[in-house]
Amino acid sequence: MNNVLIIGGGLAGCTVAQELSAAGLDSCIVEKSAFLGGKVRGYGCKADAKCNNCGLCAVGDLWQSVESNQKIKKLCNAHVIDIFKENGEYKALIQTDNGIIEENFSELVVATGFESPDKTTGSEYDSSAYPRVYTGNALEKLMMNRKENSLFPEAPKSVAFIMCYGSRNVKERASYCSQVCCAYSTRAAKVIKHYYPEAEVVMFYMDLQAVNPGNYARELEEAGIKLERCRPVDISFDGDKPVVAFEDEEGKTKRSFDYLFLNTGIHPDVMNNTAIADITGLRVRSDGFLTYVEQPENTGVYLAGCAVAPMNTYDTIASARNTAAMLINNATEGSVK
Amino acid sequence: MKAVLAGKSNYSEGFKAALTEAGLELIMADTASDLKGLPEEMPVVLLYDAKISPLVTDRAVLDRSILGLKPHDMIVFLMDKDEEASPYVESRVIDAASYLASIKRRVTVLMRSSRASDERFDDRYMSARNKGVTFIKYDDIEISENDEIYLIEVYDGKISVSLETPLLIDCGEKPTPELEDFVKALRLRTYGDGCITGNRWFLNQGSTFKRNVKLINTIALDGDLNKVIPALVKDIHALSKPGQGQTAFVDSKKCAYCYTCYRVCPHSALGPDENAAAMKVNDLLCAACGICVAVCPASAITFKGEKVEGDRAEKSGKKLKMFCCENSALIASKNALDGLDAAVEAVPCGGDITSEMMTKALKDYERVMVAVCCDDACKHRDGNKRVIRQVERLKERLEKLGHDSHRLSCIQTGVTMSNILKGAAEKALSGGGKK
Repeated sequence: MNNVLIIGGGLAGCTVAQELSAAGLDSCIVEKSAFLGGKVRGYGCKADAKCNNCGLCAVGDLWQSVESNQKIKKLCNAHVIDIFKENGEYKALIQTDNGIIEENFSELVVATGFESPDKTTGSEYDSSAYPRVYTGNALEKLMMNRKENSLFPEAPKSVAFIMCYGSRNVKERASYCSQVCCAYSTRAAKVIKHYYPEAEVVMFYMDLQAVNPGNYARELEEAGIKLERCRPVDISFDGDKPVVAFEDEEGKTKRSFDYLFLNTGIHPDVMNNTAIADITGLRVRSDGFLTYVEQPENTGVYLAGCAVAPMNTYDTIASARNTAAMLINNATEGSVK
Repeated sequence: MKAVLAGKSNYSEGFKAALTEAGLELIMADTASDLKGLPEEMPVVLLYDAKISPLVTDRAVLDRSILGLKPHDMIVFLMDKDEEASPYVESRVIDAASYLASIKRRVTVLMRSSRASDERFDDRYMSARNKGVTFIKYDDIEISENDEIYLIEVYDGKISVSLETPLLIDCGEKPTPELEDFVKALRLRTYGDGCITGNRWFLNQGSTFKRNVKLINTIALDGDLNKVIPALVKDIHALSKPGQGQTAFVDSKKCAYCYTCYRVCPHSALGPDENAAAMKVNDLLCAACGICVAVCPASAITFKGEKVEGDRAEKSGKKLKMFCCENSALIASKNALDGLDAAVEAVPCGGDITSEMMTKALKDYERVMVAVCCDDACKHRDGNKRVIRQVERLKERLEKLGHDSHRLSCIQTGVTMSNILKGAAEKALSGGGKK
């Protein structure tokens, strides 16, 4: 019997389940929230006149097909409490709405994803209290709910982006690059410029790490997006308008903008990861992400998606497919023996 | 099980012995012309080595070339000039650069993008920086030569820096002419699964679009064949199992051999079968997009296997008919069109919609709308542009005939643009038609 237990029903978990069911293997997804899809389900397409390659098309209608797939067992509002071995079989204790249940499995995939960045870094500027400040998730919501000719409640004259907000910051315990923030924010900047060609768009950046290589920076400047290489010192408010203090050629400057975007990145869910590592025999790295201790073929515990490292949509799908391929290979090898 | 071992390399013999031992019957193809006449679905293992400057890969050559330099002369490695460097080249360049830095040379590495945040490269970059290697990211570069000294002008989008060096090492990976022949003969493309785009990782391990071609970079092997052989054997055996999913199928009795499908297929999956005097589908290339099924004048092409058919209802009594592309608009239309007087028909690609379908819909419905992907987002090579052109042509024709062309409209959406799709549908329903 091959039953794969997948912890996490986000993009990585659902992709693994989908690939396994295509190969004829059974799987069971344990998802802590009420529905499948994780963070990616709340993302919005970032095409302007052209496709900007944000990767949501690659996801497509994955959620619907997983939800309607009979071969995949779905446990929502559930989490794994413990894992043990009994009579040569692995068993997981799962807390669900209907009490604790037991689930037998042969292999385990950990696809727990990442923590909502707004919760860890953007919380000081919650969008309900500051309607003109958008953190990562609020930006996605904005992109998702856009109309044919309006994006914001009112047309902006000036918009600012602060990149690497909360990433590459020792204080925030995130010294790494999140891989996604400059990519999604430059796409969003293009969309804003597409809706409001008159508006001034300023991007405060440290380094454009994850954007397309080539003449991308110049492309942005040609689109009328100003790139300002500095890390703003302070954010204050004039009424509800955000005021950004930064340093340029003339020294310290203060400017007020109509809307401010804080490009929060990907942060590991350290508490959750530690708990998972305890029961599965994985290791939590110093930056908070999970990693293997032993070869997954020996332990039967596999990793996929953003639980390993910050990844964009394409990389997450690739990593999930890779994990699924390893599982399928093992299963077919076993049946040959 | 038969397989082809293509490409000539020092490792050919080793691979031949190992694969024969694993029970495969090998056909050797030293040049691209040897592939002629072999069935297309036969598994191919292509051994290749792209040319990289020996200064990067061979420490002895590097040592020799820096002999004449003064201690304070700068040595410059240039990466990503024409095409993005592969992970293998990047790792070799960093190793070479940190070696030079460790013997107290001034080293600069120029790159367009780095994998510094990649787990595998983390330590490498860290130790290279600690040894004193300078990494500069550039956007644009100009190189001139003066008296055996290279003048390099680097522009990063904001400021420009000029460097002078007697030793400029171009780390570009160049495919050998033999490899290019093979690429042409095997009709390889870069990864086209909608997963990894552009020219990233061109010709790296596993990054081919065809299932039956396995690429092996022999430089990256470092002489250890056991790294790849077990996985390779497993992959080839897996190919012998029947494929899943659906493909197009040509009925050779109906086929008029008119080559229409050959011209329109975006995946080059259709080709002539001279024995049967009919077209033939290559199952490995077919993506089941349905374009050939729609265009075939003889209705000779159908889908083999299960194909999820859209709601091809003839008439539903609704006012608006929407043709939605499965990849974008259909997903956006879910739950968005509740309460609207609209019937949705799913199509595999915008390119699948013919003008016949649209005129028939115009007969049955008051308004017709076509919703397809944004520019550059089509999974089937610009099917969206094709249908937009068709809509424009049909509108022109309608106007010439004195009909109301406002009844037909077209919109481009992404997967999450439900609001825009709803707005457009409402506009089409209430839209001012002259009639």
